[in-house]
Amino acid sequence: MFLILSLLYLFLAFGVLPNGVFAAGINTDVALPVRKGGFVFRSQARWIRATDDATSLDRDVNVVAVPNVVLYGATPDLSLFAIVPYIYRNVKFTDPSSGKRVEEGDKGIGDSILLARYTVYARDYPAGTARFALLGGIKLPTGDDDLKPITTESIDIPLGWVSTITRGFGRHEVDADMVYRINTKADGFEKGDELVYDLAYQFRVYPWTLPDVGAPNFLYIVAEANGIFSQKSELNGETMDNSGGHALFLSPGIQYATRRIILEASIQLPVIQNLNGNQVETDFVLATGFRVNLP
Amino acid sequence: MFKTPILFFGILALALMSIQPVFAETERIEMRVDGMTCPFCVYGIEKKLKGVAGIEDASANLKTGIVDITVNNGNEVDVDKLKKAVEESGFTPGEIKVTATGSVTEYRGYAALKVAGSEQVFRLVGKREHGKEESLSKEKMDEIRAATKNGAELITVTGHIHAHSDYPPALSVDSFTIK
Repeated sequence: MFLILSLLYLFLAFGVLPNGVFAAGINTDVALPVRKGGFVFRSQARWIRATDDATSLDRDVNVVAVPNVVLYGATPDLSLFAIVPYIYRNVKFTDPSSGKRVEEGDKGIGDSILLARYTVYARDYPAGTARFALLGGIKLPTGDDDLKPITTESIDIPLGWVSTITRGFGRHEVDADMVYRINTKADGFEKGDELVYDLAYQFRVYPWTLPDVGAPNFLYIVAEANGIFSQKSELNGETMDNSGGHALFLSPGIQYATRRIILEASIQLPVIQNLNGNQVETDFVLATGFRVNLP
Repeated sequence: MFKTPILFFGILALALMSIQPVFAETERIEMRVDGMTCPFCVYGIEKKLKGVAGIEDASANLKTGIVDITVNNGNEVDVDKLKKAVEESGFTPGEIKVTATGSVTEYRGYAALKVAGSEQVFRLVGKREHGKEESLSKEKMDEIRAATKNGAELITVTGHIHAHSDYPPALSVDSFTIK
């Protein structure tokens, strides 16, 4: 079972916890601040479907991941994140020995991540802002063993950066991020290191013209490119040929923002999947979620 | 038996109702906040400003980039605290414009405005350019004194304010009207 599931790891690692869960983009991080002493809660449901299997296993995989994130503004420049995902996984495949279709499902808590984002450059204008921040954190092996290899026993380190530029009183926003995940060995298994990169553009369609008073609710259309490079993994010292590779998704979405709540939805469609070996390829990732400014 | 006390309290009630209440003139503050470009960001700015002592309400305008701040009756404006509140929300405070009503007076030899119904005092100054302020011109001061009959009448002044460490905030006069 582990070997069957490990072949899915590239897209599962990307689909379960994209960079965007860390903050304000749908699948992409942003460098906008959390007020000092303030809390934001975020939850997102991500449905990852993968059925494109070239092998006789004919794998049919559905994973629903619900990362829950608490953001805290320690200072105007330093935001802290705690992420705990809940994961449901269902896999159907053809047992090679019996030829029968087998279905297995697991659910439970995924590995937790603690993250810090520090703004090193900020330039605010009357109609926009330009910011650059550094990211760093730790992934802890707190997840359920039944969800391996989505969960692992290792302590891993994500490091990266994120940038946000807004213009035109919120009409346009461009976000970009890049995170390198240093994955370590535990229990004989070492996931390949990963480089995740994202680029997002948001365009405000409503209101088309800002009213003379107040701060109205905004409706954005969002276009993202979300990619991941992954090295091959190792199991008991042996390189796993059916692991690692490169995938790139294009992700249209919408986002509705008020003072207290943001609602959002996005579908990620693969345009590049150069996966090593016989890994099952992703059909799509559907994400929907909300964010709340806590009082 | 009860007629005399009832009559007494009835007269007292009528007397109290006839007294016009004197309320302090609420100041209006407009503060520019840079970088504020979405409603979700606005929440943090407004919440921080409302947490400053003496502030009754704060309401952002995304089109102008201005936050309208209402001061509780009788309270003073602490410019530094307002700027710090915006900085703690993660954004950049800009110019602060005030509209206040009071009487023209003097503070340590400077023309000043004492806000009606509070202890708030603003030094009245001229234009501020390149970080330096100029004293209120003699012509402008004479105009204000004449209009207020040497401080006897209330005046409403609108202008930009700047904090000073040893003096009350300076209010560079853009315009004024007699109350």
